[in-house]
Amino acid sequence: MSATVSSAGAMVLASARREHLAARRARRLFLLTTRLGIVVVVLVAWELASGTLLRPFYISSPSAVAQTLAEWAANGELWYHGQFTVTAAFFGYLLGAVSGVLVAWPLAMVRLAYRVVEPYFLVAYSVPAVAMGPVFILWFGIGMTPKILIAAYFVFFIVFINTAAGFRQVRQELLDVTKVMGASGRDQLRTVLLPSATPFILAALRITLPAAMIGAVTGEFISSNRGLGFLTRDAASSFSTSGVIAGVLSLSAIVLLMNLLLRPLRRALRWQEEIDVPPTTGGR
Amino acid sequence: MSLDVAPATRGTQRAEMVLRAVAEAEHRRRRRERAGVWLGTAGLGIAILLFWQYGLGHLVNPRYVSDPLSIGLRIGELVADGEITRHIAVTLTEAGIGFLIGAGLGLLSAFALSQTARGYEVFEPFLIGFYSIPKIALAPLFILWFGLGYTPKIIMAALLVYFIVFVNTATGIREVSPGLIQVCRVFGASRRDLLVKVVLPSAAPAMIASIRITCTRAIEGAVLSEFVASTQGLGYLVARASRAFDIETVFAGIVVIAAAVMTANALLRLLETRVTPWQPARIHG
Repeated sequence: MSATVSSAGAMVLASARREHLAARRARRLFLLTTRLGIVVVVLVAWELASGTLLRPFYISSPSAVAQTLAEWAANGELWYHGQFTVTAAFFGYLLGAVSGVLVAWPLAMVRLAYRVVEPYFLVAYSVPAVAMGPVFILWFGIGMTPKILIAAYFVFFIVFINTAAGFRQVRQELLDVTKVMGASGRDQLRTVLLPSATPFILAALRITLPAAMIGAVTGEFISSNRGLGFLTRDAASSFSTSGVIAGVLSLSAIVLLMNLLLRPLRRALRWQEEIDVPPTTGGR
Repeated sequence: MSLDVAPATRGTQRAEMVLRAVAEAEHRRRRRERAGVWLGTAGLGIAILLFWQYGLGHLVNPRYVSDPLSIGLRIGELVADGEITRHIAVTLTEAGIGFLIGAGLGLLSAFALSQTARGYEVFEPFLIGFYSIPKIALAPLFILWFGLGYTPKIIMAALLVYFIVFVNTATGIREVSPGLIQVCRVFGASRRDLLVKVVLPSAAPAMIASIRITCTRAIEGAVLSEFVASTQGLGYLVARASRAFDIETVFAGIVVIAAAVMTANALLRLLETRVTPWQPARIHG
């Protein structure tokens, strides 16, 4: 009796499971087809509108953009210019992130000192980073250095503010209790301070990697003779719309790739509520 | 009877006095600490300015760093001949219009898309893709399309604002507690009731916070496109001065840009605490 009941139950469960899986597959298929459909429709409409509704001079066309990209890839320009942008972004990121953590950490530990200097960091943070571009270029010329510094400037303040917040939000009771129980400064750092600050620091490191990219491109836009930012501007100054769009696409591809590479950082943080920031370039 | 009460009352009074004294001491300590921090901050600021004025020139070529007095004087000159007011007006107009357009479209499209869960899912990857485009790189395209006037700057400012407002509003709407919505449905709330009484109030902090941070981005967008190509505005002033190696004017321009950003930020923060005093928001961007 009970055997038949439980086997009937198992059958119901199994069929519910099948239905659930089928529904999920149907939903995935729907999403995939609508997304693909949108892409195809937009590309076809763009290709058809170019030359009929709007002059190709203004909007280029998907085929022309693809052709430009293929040309750049073939003659090596894409890799040549890409390497400068990525290098500047990488070193700027490294410089900004490391100095951000190293400056914020000791300052945040001494609460009064942090309160004294905080307004200045907030003021410097609110100076639009792009405004500093011309200054860095005046100081360091049009080579790699000003791009690295602009990228570092974009990164530094975000890392600084988040690191300081991470160390400062540690509950005082936890510090008091561990001290009473005989923890040394190093023990406290290892068991209380670092675990609570790490999610903040990692979140900042995650959102600032694309920001470094934007910083490097900004520097190249203001003044340079190589890099993807230069390539894009160069295309614009010779009125090559396909070139500008190809440049924008290759830059976006790099940023998207960076966001993908950063996914594992997110997963490394499972033990605590994530400091949730969407995959962004800070919107710039 | 009264003999029994009297000592107890006296005891309570003494306890109250002690408590009050402790509270006052704590209050005094806090005030002293705050004054100390304030003095420290002011002192540090003065020290930095003094060092910049009298010390920095000995370490590096003063042509590269100028000094606070010269920069102040240059700001005075620019204000006196009215040049800077014109540039400020241009940049703030571009940023203001761009901000309104970007924030308006961001709110509208977030609400529209959140009405259909499917719609949001379909468009999400495209939005992330667009979000990843370094917007600066689009500046030449806008200039190619719309020339050197206000339009390309307004579009750039609007674009920088749009995505941040959109993403935060959409997140705010989707994070409304489903329990609240179900309860209201059970009690017979209409779609409109849900929107006005549940969704809006709980999404408001994220919306408003994103609107506050984006006013900075609007100014940034306008200045940035002015760097790329323009004939007026603060970005033009700074870019032209930088090409002419006129470091005082470069710094003067940066100070003015920073002041504009900070003023806008402070005003909107005031507005934020007025409009949504009920909960703090975690903002993105």
